[in-house]
Amino acid sequence: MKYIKIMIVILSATLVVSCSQEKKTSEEHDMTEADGHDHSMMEADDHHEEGEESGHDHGAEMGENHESTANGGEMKKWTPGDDGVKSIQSDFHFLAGAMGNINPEVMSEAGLNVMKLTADGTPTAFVFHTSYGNLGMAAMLNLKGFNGTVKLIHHAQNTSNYEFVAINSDKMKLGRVVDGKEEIFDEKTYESADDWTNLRVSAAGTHFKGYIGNKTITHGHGDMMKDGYVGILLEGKGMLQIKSVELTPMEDE
Amino acid sequence: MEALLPEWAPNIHPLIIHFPIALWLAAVFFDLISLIRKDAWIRNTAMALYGLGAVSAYAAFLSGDQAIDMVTIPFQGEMTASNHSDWGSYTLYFFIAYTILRGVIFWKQWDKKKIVGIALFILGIIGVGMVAKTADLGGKLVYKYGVGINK
Repeated sequence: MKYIKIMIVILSATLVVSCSQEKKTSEEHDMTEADGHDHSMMEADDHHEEGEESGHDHGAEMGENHESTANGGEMKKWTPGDDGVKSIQSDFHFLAGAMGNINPEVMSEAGLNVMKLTADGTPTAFVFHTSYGNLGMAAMLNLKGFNGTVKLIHHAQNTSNYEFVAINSDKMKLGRVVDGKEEIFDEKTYESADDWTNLRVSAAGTHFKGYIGNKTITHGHGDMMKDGYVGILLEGKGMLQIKSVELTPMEDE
Repeated sequence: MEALLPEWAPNIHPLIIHFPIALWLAAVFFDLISLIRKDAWIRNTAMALYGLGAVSAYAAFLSGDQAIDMVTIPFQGEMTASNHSDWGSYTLYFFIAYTILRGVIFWKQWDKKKIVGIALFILGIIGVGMVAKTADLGGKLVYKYGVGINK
Protein backbone atom coordinates (compact mmCIF):
# COMPACT_ATOMS: atom_id res chain seq x y z
CA MET A 1 0.00 0.00 0.00
CA LYS A 2 2.99 2.27 0.67
CA TYR A 3 4.09 1.91 -2.98
CA ILE A 4 0.61 2.75 -4.18
CA LYS A 5 0.67 5.98 -2.19
CA ILE A 6 4.06 6.89 -3.67
CA MET A 7 2.76 6.23 -7.18
CA ILE A 8 -0.35 8.31 -6.59
CA VAL A 9 1.84 11.16 -5.38
CA ILE A 10 3.98 10.90 -8.54
CA LEU A 11 0.90 10.87 -10.77
CA SER A 12 -0.58 13.85 -8.95
CA ALA A 13 2.71 15.72 -9.21
CA THR A 14 2.83 15.08 -12.95
CA LEU A 15 -0.68 16.44 -13.35
CA VAL A 16 0.00 19.47 -11.18
CA VAL A 17 3.19 20.30 -13.10
CA SER A 18 1.37 19.94 -16.45
CA CYS A 19 -1.54 22.10 -15.35
CA SER A 20 0.58 24.75 -13.66
CA GLN A 21 2.80 25.04 -16.74
CA GLU A 22 -0.27 25.52 -18.91
CA LYS A 23 -1.68 28.06 -16.47
CA LYS A 24 1.61 29.90 -16.30
CA THR A 25 1.89 30.28 -20.06
CA SER A 26 -1.73 31.35 -20.36
CA GLU A 27 -1.27 33.93 -17.59
CA GLU A 28 1.82 35.28 -19.32
CA HIS A 29 -0.14 35.43 -22.53
CA ASP A 30 -2.98 37.31 -20.84
CA MET A 31 -0.53 39.70 -19.28
CA THR A 32 1.20 40.47 -22.56
CA GLU A 33 -2.14 40.93 -24.25
CA ALA A 34 -3.09 43.41 -21.61
CA ASP A 35 0.14 45.32 -22.26
CA GLY A 36 -0.26 44.76 -25.95
CA HIS A 37 1.03 47.87 -27.66
CA ASP A 38 2.27 46.81 -31.03
CA HIS A 39 4.67 49.65 -31.61
CA SER A 40 5.87 49.74 -35.11
CA MET A 41 9.46 50.47 -34.25
CA MET A 42 11.24 49.43 -37.36
CA GLU A 43 9.41 49.27 -40.58
CA ALA A 44 12.72 49.99 -42.18
CA ASP A 45 11.63 49.28 -45.73
CA ASP A 46 8.95 51.94 -45.47
CA HIS A 47 11.38 54.29 -43.81
CA HIS A 48 13.77 53.97 -46.69
CA GLU A 49 11.25 55.37 -49.08
CA GLU A 50 10.27 57.95 -46.55
CA GLY A 51 13.91 58.63 -45.77
CA GLU A 52 14.75 59.45 -49.33
CA GLU A 53 12.30 62.30 -49.18
CA SER A 54 12.57 63.39 -45.59
CA GLY A 55 16.27 62.92 -44.91
CA HIS A 56 15.59 59.65 -43.05
CA ASP A 57 15.29 61.07 -39.60
CA HIS A 58 14.24 58.07 -37.49
CA GLY A 59 15.24 59.74 -34.24
CA ALA A 60 12.23 61.92 -33.68
CA GLU A 61 9.86 59.10 -34.51
CA MET A 62 11.44 56.17 -32.75
CA GLY A 63 13.36 57.66 -29.88
CA GLU A 64 10.17 57.87 -27.85
CA ASN A 65 9.58 54.15 -27.87
CA HIS A 66 11.72 53.31 -24.83
CA GLU A 67 10.15 50.87 -22.35
CA SER A 68 7.51 49.67 -24.78
CA THR A 69 6.63 46.00 -25.11
CA ALA A 70 5.90 44.10 -28.30
CA ASN A 71 3.67 41.08 -28.73
CA GLY A 72 1.91 39.32 -31.55
CA GLY A 73 3.31 37.07 -34.20
CA GLU A 74 4.08 39.61 -36.90
CA MET A 75 7.65 39.71 -38.13
CA LYS A 76 9.41 43.07 -38.16
CA LYS A 77 12.44 43.70 -40.28
CA TRP A 78 15.09 46.31 -39.67
CA THR A 79 17.45 47.41 -42.41
CA PRO A 80 19.87 50.31 -42.14
CA GLY A 81 18.89 53.78 -43.29
CA ASP A 82 21.19 55.94 -45.40
CA ASP A 83 23.09 57.38 -42.47
CA GLY A 84 24.85 54.93 -40.16
CA VAL A 85 25.01 57.08 -37.03
CA LYS A 86 21.40 58.30 -37.40
CA SER A 87 20.15 54.76 -38.01
CA ILE A 88 21.79 53.42 -34.86
CA GLN A 89 20.79 56.47 -32.85
CA SER A 90 17.14 56.33 -33.81
CA ASP A 91 16.46 52.60 -33.72
CA PHE A 92 18.75 51.41 -30.90
CA HIS A 93 20.10 52.42 -27.56
CA PHE A 94 23.32 51.29 -25.93
CA LEU A 95 23.48 48.93 -22.94
CA ALA A 96 27.28 48.94 -23.12
CA GLY A 97 29.78 50.99 -25.05
CA ALA A 98 28.85 53.91 -27.24
CA MET A 99 28.58 55.04 -30.82
CA GLY A 100 32.27 55.86 -30.93
CA ASN A 101 33.17 52.24 -30.19
CA ILE A 102 31.55 50.91 -33.37
CA ASN A 103 31.83 53.82 -35.80
CA PRO A 104 28.74 52.98 -37.92
CA GLU A 105 28.75 53.66 -41.63
CA VAL A 106 26.32 52.65 -44.32
CA MET A 107 27.43 51.40 -47.69
CA SER A 108 25.45 50.16 -50.61
CA GLU A 109 25.74 46.59 -51.83
CA ALA A 110 23.69 45.44 -54.81
CA GLY A 111 21.25 48.29 -54.21
CA LEU A 112 20.82 47.45 -50.52
CA ASN A 113 22.09 49.43 -47.56
CA VAL A 114 24.58 47.54 -45.43
CA MET A 115 25.61 48.75 -41.97
CA LYS A 116 29.35 48.59 -41.48
CA LEU A 117 30.52 48.66 -37.89
CA THR A 118 34.16 49.01 -36.97
CA ALA A 119 34.58 47.79 -33.41
CA ASP A 120 37.52 49.07 -31.38
CA GLY A 121 37.53 46.18 -28.92
CA THR A 122 35.31 47.73 -26.26
CA PRO A 123 32.34 45.45 -25.52
CA THR A 124 29.41 47.22 -27.13
CA ALA A 125 25.75 46.26 -26.89
CA PHE A 126 23.05 48.09 -28.81
CA VAL A 127 19.44 47.03 -28.51
CA PHE A 128 16.11 47.99 -30.01
CA HIS A 129 13.93 50.27 -27.93
CA THR A 130 11.13 47.73 -27.54
CA SER A 131 11.28 44.86 -25.07
CA TYR A 132 10.19 41.35 -25.97
CA GLY A 133 9.32 38.05 -24.33
CA ASN A 134 9.26 34.95 -26.49
CA LEU A 135 10.71 35.76 -29.85
CA GLY A 136 12.68 34.74 -32.89
CA MET A 137 15.54 36.92 -34.08
CA ALA A 138 17.49 36.61 -37.30
CA ALA A 139 20.43 38.77 -38.33
CA MET A 140 22.20 38.71 -41.66
CA LEU A 141 25.83 39.30 -40.74
CA ASN A 142 29.20 39.36 -42.44
CA LEU A 143 31.89 38.51 -39.92
CA LYS A 144 34.77 38.18 -42.34
CA GLY A 145 36.64 41.19 -41.01
CA PHE A 146 35.68 40.74 -37.37
CA ASN A 147 37.89 39.13 -34.78
CA GLY A 148 35.94 38.20 -31.67
CA THR A 149 32.49 37.16 -30.54
CA VAL A 150 29.20 38.41 -31.90
CA LYS A 151 26.15 37.80 -29.74
CA LEU A 152 22.50 38.18 -30.56
CA ILE A 153 21.08 39.08 -27.18
CA HIS A 154 17.50 38.92 -25.97
CA HIS A 155 15.64 39.22 -22.66
CA ALA A 156 18.33 41.78 -21.89
CA GLN A 157 17.92 43.92 -18.78
CA ASN A 158 21.52 45.12 -18.83
CA THR A 159 24.92 43.63 -19.68
CA SER A 160 24.82 41.47 -16.54
CA ASN A 161 21.44 39.90 -17.28
CA TYR A 162 20.57 38.64 -20.74
CA GLU A 163 20.25 35.55 -22.93
CA PHE A 164 22.26 35.03 -26.07
CA VAL A 165 23.44 33.03 -29.00
CA ALA A 166 27.08 33.75 -29.73
CA ILE A 167 29.35 32.93 -32.63
CA ASN A 168 33.10 33.12 -32.75
CA SER A 169 34.76 31.73 -35.91
CA ASP A 170 33.09 28.29 -36.24
CA LYS A 171 31.80 27.94 -32.68
CA MET A 172 28.29 28.67 -31.51
CA LYS A 173 27.28 29.06 -27.87
CA LEU A 174 23.78 29.30 -26.52
CA GLY A 175 23.23 30.52 -23.01
CA ARG A 176 22.44 33.28 -20.58
CA VAL A 177 24.15 35.66 -18.24
CA VAL A 178 22.53 36.16 -14.85
CA ASP A 179 24.04 38.67 -12.43
CA GLY A 180 27.16 38.64 -14.55
CA LYS A 181 27.54 34.85 -14.38
CA GLU A 182 27.46 32.98 -17.67
CA GLU A 183 25.51 29.75 -18.03
CA ILE A 184 25.93 27.79 -21.27
CA PHE A 185 22.93 25.74 -22.46
CA ASP A 186 24.63 24.23 -25.48
CA GLU A 187 27.81 24.64 -27.49
CA LYS A 188 28.59 23.30 -30.99
CA THR A 189 30.75 23.93 -34.00
CA TYR A 190 29.25 24.70 -37.38
CA GLU A 191 30.37 25.08 -40.96
CA SER A 192 30.12 28.50 -42.49
CA ALA A 193 30.13 28.31 -46.26
CA ASP A 194 29.44 31.92 -47.11
CA ASP A 195 30.71 35.39 -46.18
CA TRP A 196 27.19 36.24 -45.06
CA THR A 197 25.79 34.32 -42.13
CA ASN A 198 22.11 34.19 -41.28
CA LEU A 199 22.43 33.88 -37.50
CA ARG A 200 19.12 33.07 -35.83
CA VAL A 201 17.99 32.52 -32.28
CA SER A 202 14.63 31.57 -30.83
CA ALA A 203 13.37 31.77 -27.28
CA ALA A 204 10.08 29.92 -26.91
CA GLY A 205 9.08 29.38 -23.30
CA THR A 206 11.82 27.31 -21.73
CA HIS A 207 13.27 26.21 -25.07
CA PHE A 208 16.14 28.07 -26.70
CA LYS A 209 17.71 27.40 -30.08
CA GLY A 210 20.52 28.80 -32.17
CA TYR A 211 20.55 28.35 -35.93
CA ILE A 212 22.69 29.09 -38.93
CA GLY A 213 20.15 29.64 -41.68
CA ASN A 214 17.51 26.98 -41.21
CA LYS A 215 19.82 24.50 -39.54
CA THR A 216 19.51 24.08 -35.78
CA ILE A 217 23.00 24.10 -34.29
CA THR A 218 22.37 24.54 -30.57
CA HIS A 219 19.35 23.71 -28.43
CA GLY A 220 19.00 24.22 -24.71
CA HIS A 221 16.56 24.72 -21.90
CA GLY A 222 16.22 27.10 -19.01
CA ASP A 223 13.69 29.00 -16.95
CA MET A 224 11.88 31.85 -18.61
CA MET A 225 13.45 35.24 -18.02
CA LYS A 226 11.38 38.38 -17.85
CA ASP A 227 10.87 40.43 -21.00
CA GLY A 228 13.86 42.43 -22.11
CA TYR A 229 15.57 44.15 -24.97
CA VAL A 230 16.96 42.46 -28.04
CA GLY A 231 19.99 43.48 -30.00
CA ILE A 232 23.62 42.81 -30.75
CA LEU A 233 26.60 42.59 -28.44
CA LEU A 234 30.08 42.82 -29.92
CA GLU A 235 33.08 41.55 -28.00
CA GLY A 236 36.01 41.95 -30.33
CA LYS A 237 37.74 44.09 -32.88
CA GLY A 238 37.34 44.67 -36.57
CA MET A 239 34.63 45.15 -39.14
CA LEU A 240 31.18 43.62 -38.92
CA GLN A 241 28.52 44.17 -41.55
CA ILE A 242 24.79 43.92 -40.98
CA LYS A 243 22.28 43.66 -43.80
CA SER A 244 19.15 43.18 -41.75
CA VAL A 245 17.69 42.14 -38.42
CA GLU A 246 14.32 40.43 -38.23
CA LEU A 247 12.28 40.06 -35.08
CA THR A 248 9.29 37.77 -34.73
CA PRO A 249 7.46 38.01 -31.42
CA MET A 250 5.96 34.63 -30.57
CA GLU A 251 2.46 34.22 -29.27
CA ASP A 252 1.56 31.36 -27.00
CA GLU A 253 -1.57 29.50 -27.93
CA MET B 1 18.23 3.46 -38.55
CA GLU B 2 17.87 6.08 -41.27
CA ALA B 3 18.25 3.41 -43.95
CA LEU B 4 15.05 1.79 -42.68
CA LEU B 5 13.06 4.97 -43.15
CA PRO B 6 10.75 5.36 -46.12
CA GLU B 7 12.20 7.79 -48.63
CA TRP B 8 9.49 10.40 -47.90
CA ALA B 9 9.86 10.39 -44.11
CA PRO B 10 11.90 13.25 -42.59
CA ASN B 11 12.60 11.18 -39.47
CA ILE B 12 11.22 8.22 -37.55
CA HIS B 13 9.02 10.27 -35.18
CA PRO B 14 5.87 10.40 -37.36
CA LEU B 15 6.00 6.61 -37.74
CA ILE B 16 6.15 5.95 -34.00
CA ILE B 17 3.75 8.49 -32.51
CA HIS B 18 0.59 6.58 -33.41
CA PHE B 19 1.53 3.66 -31.18
CA PRO B 20 1.16 5.34 -27.76
CA ILE B 21 -2.08 6.99 -28.88
CA ALA B 22 -3.64 3.77 -30.15
CA LEU B 23 -2.29 1.49 -27.42
CA TRP B 24 -3.33 3.79 -24.56
CA LEU B 25 -6.81 4.28 -26.04
CA ALA B 26 -7.20 0.54 -26.46
CA ALA B 27 -6.02 -0.04 -22.88
CA VAL B 28 -8.61 2.41 -21.52
CA PHE B 29 -11.26 0.71 -23.63
CA PHE B 30 -10.32 -2.67 -22.11
CA ASP B 31 -10.44 -1.05 -18.67
CA LEU B 32 -13.98 0.07 -19.37
CA ILE B 33 -14.94 -3.41 -20.48
CA SER B 34 -13.33 -4.89 -17.38
CA LEU B 35 -15.65 -2.78 -15.21
CA ILE B 36 -18.56 -4.66 -16.76
CA ARG B 37 -17.07 -8.09 -17.41
CA LYS B 38 -14.70 -9.80 -15.01
CA ASP B 39 -12.90 -12.06 -17.50
CA ALA B 40 -9.23 -12.54 -16.66
CA TRP B 41 -8.09 -12.08 -20.26
CA ILE B 42 -9.62 -8.57 -20.38
CA ARG B 43 -7.73 -7.57 -17.25
CA ASN B 44 -4.50 -9.10 -18.60
CA THR B 45 -4.93 -7.42 -21.97
CA ALA B 46 -5.49 -4.01 -20.40
CA MET B 47 -2.33 -4.40 -18.34
CA ALA B 48 -0.30 -5.50 -21.37
CA LEU B 49 -1.62 -2.58 -23.43
CA TYR B 50 -0.71 -0.04 -20.75
CA GLY B 51 2.80 -1.51 -20.61
CA LEU B 52 3.18 -1.37 -24.38
CA GLY B 53 1.68 2.14 -24.39
CA ALA B 54 4.32 3.36 -21.94
CA VAL B 55 7.17 1.72 -23.88
CA SER B 56 5.95 3.21 -27.17
CA ALA B 57 5.54 6.62 -25.48
CA TYR B 58 9.21 6.42 -24.50
CA ALA B 59 10.15 5.58 -28.09
CA ALA B 60 8.01 8.50 -29.35
CA PHE B 61 9.67 10.83 -26.83
CA LEU B 62 13.19 9.80 -27.85
CA SER B 63 12.44 10.06 -31.57
CA GLY B 64 10.78 13.45 -31.04
CA ASP B 65 13.77 14.71 -29.09
CA GLN B 66 15.97 13.75 -32.02
CA ALA B 67 13.55 15.04 -34.70
CA ILE B 68 13.08 18.53 -33.25
CA ASP B 69 16.62 19.53 -34.25
CA MET B 70 16.39 17.94 -37.70
CA VAL B 71 13.40 19.85 -39.00
CA THR B 72 12.97 23.47 -39.95
CA ILE B 73 10.47 25.29 -37.75
CA PRO B 74 9.33 28.82 -38.62
CA PHE B 75 9.59 31.25 -35.72
CA GLN B 76 5.78 31.45 -35.56
CA GLY B 77 5.70 27.71 -34.86
CA GLU B 78 8.37 27.63 -32.16
CA MET B 79 5.91 28.11 -29.29
CA THR B 80 3.88 25.18 -30.57
CA ALA B 81 7.05 23.10 -30.85
CA SER B 82 8.02 24.08 -27.33
CA ASN B 83 4.58 23.20 -25.93
CA HIS B 84 4.50 19.94 -27.89
CA SER B 85 7.85 19.01 -26.42
CA ASP B 86 6.76 19.90 -22.87
CA TRP B 87 3.48 18.01 -23.14
CA GLY B 88 5.36 15.03 -24.61
CA SER B 89 7.50 14.98 -21.48
CA TYR B 90 4.55 15.27 -19.08
CA THR B 91 2.70 12.52 -20.93
CA LEU B 92 5.68 10.21 -20.80
CA TYR B 93 6.18 10.76 -17.06
CA PHE B 94 2.50 10.15 -16.47
CA PHE B 95 2.43 6.99 -18.59
CA ILE B 96 5.46 5.53 -16.85
CA ALA B 97 4.21 6.37 -13.35
CA TYR B 98 0.74 5.06 -14.15
CA THR B 99 2.06 1.83 -15.66
CA ILE B 100 4.24 1.12 -12.62
CA LEU B 101 1.31 1.85 -10.32
CA ARG B 102 -0.90 -0.30 -12.49
CA GLY B 103 1.65 -3.12 -12.45
CA VAL B 104 1.81 -3.14 -8.66
CA ILE B 105 -1.97 -3.12 -8.37
CA PHE B 106 -2.25 -5.87 -10.97
CA TRP B 107 0.33 -7.97 -9.18
CA LYS B 108 -1.44 -7.52 -5.83
CA GLN B 109 -4.79 -8.08 -7.59
CA TRP B 110 -6.28 -4.97 -5.96
CA ASP B 111 -7.81 -3.97 -9.28
CA LYS B 112 -10.40 -6.68 -8.82
CA LYS B 113 -12.15 -4.31 -6.43
CA LYS B 114 -14.69 -2.18 -8.29
CA ILE B 115 -13.64 1.11 -6.70
CA VAL B 116 -9.98 0.56 -7.61
CA GLY B 117 -11.02 -0.36 -11.16
CA ILE B 118 -13.02 2.86 -11.51
CA ALA B 119 -10.14 4.97 -10.14
CA LEU B 120 -7.70 3.35 -12.56
CA PHE B 121 -10.09 3.92 -15.44
CA ILE B 122 -10.36 7.64 -14.56
CA LEU B 123 -6.57 7.93 -14.40
CA GLY B 124 -6.39 6.17 -17.77
CA ILE B 125 -8.79 8.76 -19.21
CA ILE B 126 -6.52 11.53 -17.91
CA GLY B 127 -3.68 9.83 -19.80
CA VAL B 128 -5.82 9.91 -22.94
CA GLY B 129 -6.34 13.64 -22.43
CA MET B 130 -2.61 14.20 -22.07
CA VAL B 131 -1.65 12.22 -25.15
CA ALA B 132 -4.46 13.96 -27.09
CA LYS B 133 -3.08 17.39 -26.11
CA THR B 134 0.43 16.33 -27.18
CA ALA B 135 -0.87 14.93 -30.46
CA ASP B 136 -2.94 18.06 -31.12
CA LEU B 137 0.16 20.25 -30.79
CA GLY B 138 2.15 17.87 -33.00
CA GLY B 139 -0.59 17.98 -35.64
CA LYS B 140 -0.58 21.76 -35.50
CA LEU B 141 3.17 21.80 -36.10
CA VAL B 142 2.73 19.76 -39.26
CA TYR B 143 -0.54 21.05 -40.68
CA LYS B 144 -0.39 24.69 -39.62
CA TYR B 145 3.32 25.38 -39.80
CA GLY B 146 4.37 22.74 -42.33
CA VAL B 147 7.07 21.26 -40.07
CA GLY B 148 8.59 18.05 -41.40
CA ILE B 149 6.52 17.88 -44.56
CA ASN B 150 9.56 18.00 -46.79
CA LYS B 151 12.54 15.77 -46.28
